[in-house]
Amino acid sequence: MALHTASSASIQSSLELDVTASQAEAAIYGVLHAARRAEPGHHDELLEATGQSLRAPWQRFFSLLGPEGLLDLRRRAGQVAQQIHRNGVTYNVYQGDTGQSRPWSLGLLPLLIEPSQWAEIEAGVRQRAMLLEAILADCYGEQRLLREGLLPPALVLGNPGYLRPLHGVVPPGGVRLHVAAFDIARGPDGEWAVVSQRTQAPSGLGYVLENRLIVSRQFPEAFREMGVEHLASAYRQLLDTLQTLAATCSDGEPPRLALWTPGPFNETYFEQAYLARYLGLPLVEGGDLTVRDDRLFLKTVQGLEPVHGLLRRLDDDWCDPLELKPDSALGVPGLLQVVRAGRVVVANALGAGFLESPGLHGFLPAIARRLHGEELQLPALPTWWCGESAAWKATREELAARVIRPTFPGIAGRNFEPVIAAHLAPEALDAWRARIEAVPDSHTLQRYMPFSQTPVWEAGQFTPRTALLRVYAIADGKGDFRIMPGGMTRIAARDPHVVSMQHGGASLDTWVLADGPVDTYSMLPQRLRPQEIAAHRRPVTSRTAENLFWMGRYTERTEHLVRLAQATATLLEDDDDSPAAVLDAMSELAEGSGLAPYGVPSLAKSPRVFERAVVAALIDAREHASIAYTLDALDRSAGSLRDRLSPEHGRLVRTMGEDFRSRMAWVDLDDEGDPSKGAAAGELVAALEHLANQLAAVTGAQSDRMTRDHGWRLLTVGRLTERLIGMATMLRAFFEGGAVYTTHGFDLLLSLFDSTMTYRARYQGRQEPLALLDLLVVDEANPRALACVLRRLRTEIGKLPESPDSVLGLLALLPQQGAGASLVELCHDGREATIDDARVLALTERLVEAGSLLSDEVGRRYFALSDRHDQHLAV
Amino acid sequence: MTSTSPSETAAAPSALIDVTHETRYRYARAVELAQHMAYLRPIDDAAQELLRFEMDVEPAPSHHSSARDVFGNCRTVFTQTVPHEMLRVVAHSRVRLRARPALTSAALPWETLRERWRYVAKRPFDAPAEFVFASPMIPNLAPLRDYALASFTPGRPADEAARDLTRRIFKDFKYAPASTHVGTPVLEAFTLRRGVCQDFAHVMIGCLRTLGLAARYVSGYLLTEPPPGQPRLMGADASHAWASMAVVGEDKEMVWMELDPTNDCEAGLGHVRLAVGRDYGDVTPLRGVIRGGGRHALDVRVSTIPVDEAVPVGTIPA
Repeated sequence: MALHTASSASIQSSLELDVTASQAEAAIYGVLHAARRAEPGHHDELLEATGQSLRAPWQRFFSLLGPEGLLDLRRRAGQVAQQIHRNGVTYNVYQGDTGQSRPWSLGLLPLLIEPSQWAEIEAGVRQRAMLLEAILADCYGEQRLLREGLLPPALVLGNPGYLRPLHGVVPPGGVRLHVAAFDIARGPDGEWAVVSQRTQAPSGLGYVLENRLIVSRQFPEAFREMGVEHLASAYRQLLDTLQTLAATCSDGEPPRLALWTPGPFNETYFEQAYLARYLGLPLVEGGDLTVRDDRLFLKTVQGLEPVHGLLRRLDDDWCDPLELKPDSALGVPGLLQVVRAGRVVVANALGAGFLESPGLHGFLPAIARRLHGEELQLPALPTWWCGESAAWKATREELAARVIRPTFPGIAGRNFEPVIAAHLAPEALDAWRARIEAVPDSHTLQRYMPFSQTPVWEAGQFTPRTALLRVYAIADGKGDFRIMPGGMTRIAARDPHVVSMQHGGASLDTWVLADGPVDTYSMLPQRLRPQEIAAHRRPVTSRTAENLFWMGRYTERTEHLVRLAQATATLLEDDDDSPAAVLDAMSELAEGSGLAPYGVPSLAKSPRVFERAVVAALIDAREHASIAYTLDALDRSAGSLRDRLSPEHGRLVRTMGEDFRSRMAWVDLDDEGDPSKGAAAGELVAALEHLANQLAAVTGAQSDRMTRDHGWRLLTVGRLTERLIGMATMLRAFFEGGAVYTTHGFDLLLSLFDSTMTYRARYQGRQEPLALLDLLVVDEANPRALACVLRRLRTEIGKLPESPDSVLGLLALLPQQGAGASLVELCHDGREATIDDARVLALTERLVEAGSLLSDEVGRRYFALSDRHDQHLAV
Repeated sequence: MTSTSPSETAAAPSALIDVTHETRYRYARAVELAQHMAYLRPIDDAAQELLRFEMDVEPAPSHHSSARDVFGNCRTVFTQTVPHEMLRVVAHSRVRLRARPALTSAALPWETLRERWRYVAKRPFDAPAEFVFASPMIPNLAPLRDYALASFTPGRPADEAARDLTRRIFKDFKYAPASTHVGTPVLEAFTLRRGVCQDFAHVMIGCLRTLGLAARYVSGYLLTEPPPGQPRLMGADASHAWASMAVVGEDKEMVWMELDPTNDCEAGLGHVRLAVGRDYGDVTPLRGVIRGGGRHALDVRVSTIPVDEAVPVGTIPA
């Protein structure tokens, strides 16, 4: 190879070019063969008007993909779906009162936007964002636009989204719109137009990132060669803007920001958690925040910590139950007062919601001329607000060519689903005319425009789907906006006219192609100054701490249950007669832990009935102590901790539940046959073993992969507390009826404590109860000994943040050293070689009680702030 | 006991009134944190001079502040961070009431007003137009419109029609204390034809707005003891509420005409105004969000007493 001459290299490369050229042609031919044309009236993103050739960017895309890539699309689409599932990307859809989350739907192919088009979009959106900001300033200030008749009062003062309590309030930096989103679409002529705008808490910034990561990985070559604009700088801009503005109200301290979520039941919770993690912001709920003396605070395990900026995902109405919607449990009472005092940046500013009314569109051109002396560069779909009688009269007879939209979307009593009037029968049209004339203000008409259709790869075909693109304008804090070069493209599910995620649409990555070099900034950590380091340590909110504590407890409880279930299965498999004492001890443990339902005949009486009851209980998620229940509880805690757990960790927890459910389904099926010898027993053992392995991975992730902050510490305390209770309970059961003094019981107890190996190594085959007691209770070197669990508990509790009455109170609940009794103290006085069972039982009682007291105390001290029983009063 | 101060012109009648408004909450369990908002300071303007105002809050707030809201009312917010099982808010006010401004020419027909408040592109905005729109507690309801049209016949002067509507509500509705609560929807009160002054006011305002007229909610008090020889009015032992409608005379002058449908009268020298807003929700005298507290018992007392100006003014009895 080193001998290659310059000429041979060039021959080589020209050959490659030829090959590439013909391959590109083959790929394009393949696409043309498998592509359907857009429906009549829709601009076709993929095909030229003739239908015989691809539009330029797609030609490029498929040339780079080549015929092999084309054949590989099915596999890549599968990978996209798999990645969505692995990352747990969801979109919650409300169904009755049970929120169901379903996987986010992402298409394989991106939407491609050429540089010249993007330049127009960018300039137009930027201009509109600046105009909206100016309108907000006017409406919450001097109201010149109202007085001059440029804006109808009905759309401002009559809009429930206009918040009078904030009139006259100038937010930090004078910025009210930090992120504005514009839904734009391409008409039949290929020109872009604004369909609607989002000004309160636009969703999508998290999905945009996730979509980009997944799709760009499927087409690395095209992504690189086509010069796709990167997105990271826009997110950086958002953070910079918020930080700069928040610094004006943080009293010289480094400002603290948070992402405010409505909580895990919100439809876009996934992306909120994702965005929080990407931006490095704590994800907080209303209950995590509190107002004191016109200032906002975060409730943490270390007490109240100031917050200076909120990137919110709540709509206005819900933000303050004191002054806005009184029954909002998601808000922060007193927040409006903090806003009026200028002590917090809320992004977007509260009260920006009235700009979301489609009724405004028709008034914007005149306002742009009046305020900025310019024409709008990016038009909106022609819009008529029916409250202006001249406008209604002008369009009344053309209703069939309109889309009827609510002027006040989302407002109870005035909201309705948009209607495409072209689909209506003449009588229905007349009914709508009457309805509009009865309440003209509430109705807005928009010209019906078929949006462009972009290819989606489906079942081996390129199917055209109607697309709507959401573009984000991000304030720079100095009066200008930067447009994120990309966005969230949504495509219609079936009806080519309705684009909605709630209605089952899908999303696409959006590739803005660059003319020049691409800004490859990536959101790598910035260089920090030493004094900033501390500010970047994420506070642990009381709610997060509570979830972590219970995650620790549930993980351990599941392990405990699995171990008991395995032991029970082994007992049942053994044909030898197990001593009654052992069977009784296991029955009691099974019943006490919830493994077997109360009142079931014991193992000794009826092993088959017992087994069936245990198997049934294992998978009953309604039972408070079943494995299925603790797995669900674990999944819920993990779901609420999405911003803290690594995606792998969350995935592990989720998979654990899914695997267990599907494996147990087999056990259940075969139940009727021969439960102990047949496939069912084998499946049960296999399911438990698989679960045990997965649990080991989860605990590994918990102990090795998590930041050692107070949150982790509380998780560990939860885990050790549960372990303390579990072990003490097992010990009690085996000593109570003397099971430990039988060979069978002796071995079983050792195995339940995971200490069989250690015991054998030390004492070989000897059955010495005292040696067992030493190993399981007193020996601090045995990680499964009570003394070791207690020592670790004391250590972790000692590191917890000092609450007013200090951690000493917590430590006082535990024995001061060891397990609280020495080996000698557990034996009969004067007869050192014999165990005094009563003393052992008393010790186990004390430890079980200490465990539950400790759990209550930890809750009272560290999670009390997260308690929320707000009530609203009015007289 | 309407009296005329000797130092003022004998022609201008006025009344000096002391108001004590006490609100007391008792909680079953301690309240750990409380955020409250109060509209308890009477309006101070040409027709109502605020001579004195004090507000006592127990337990003492850790923080409080007052400011004017967008309608010009005084809004006070306070926070209590000490655990407490009782909240007591007492507002003492002394006001001098004078005659309200009235039209100096004949009122225009109601349809003319409706057109005037309606938006026309580039036509300057008239302030009362803000009060034409539905508000959170008073949605636009077709039944109210039908009810109102019986008074608002074609071409009728707006003031005359409004007086007629006031009388009809007074006659058709039963004043029934404790039959409704602060959150009762206007449609429910309208359907049942009963309620308290807040419901009467909401129904009246709802009627006027469905016709396209501008109407406000007035929160206030009524003189407890009527002048000698006059009947005691309803709603005098608690805070009171009534409606106010924008009317315009032939000379283009606009005034807010205040109508009390609970008592079938226009607000006069016995009506003390606390605050004006779109509905009760804008000017709730006292509201709050508390953490903890459990069940609570509420006790509200209002006394509204005319001051005999012959007697030197001493301290106000609590």
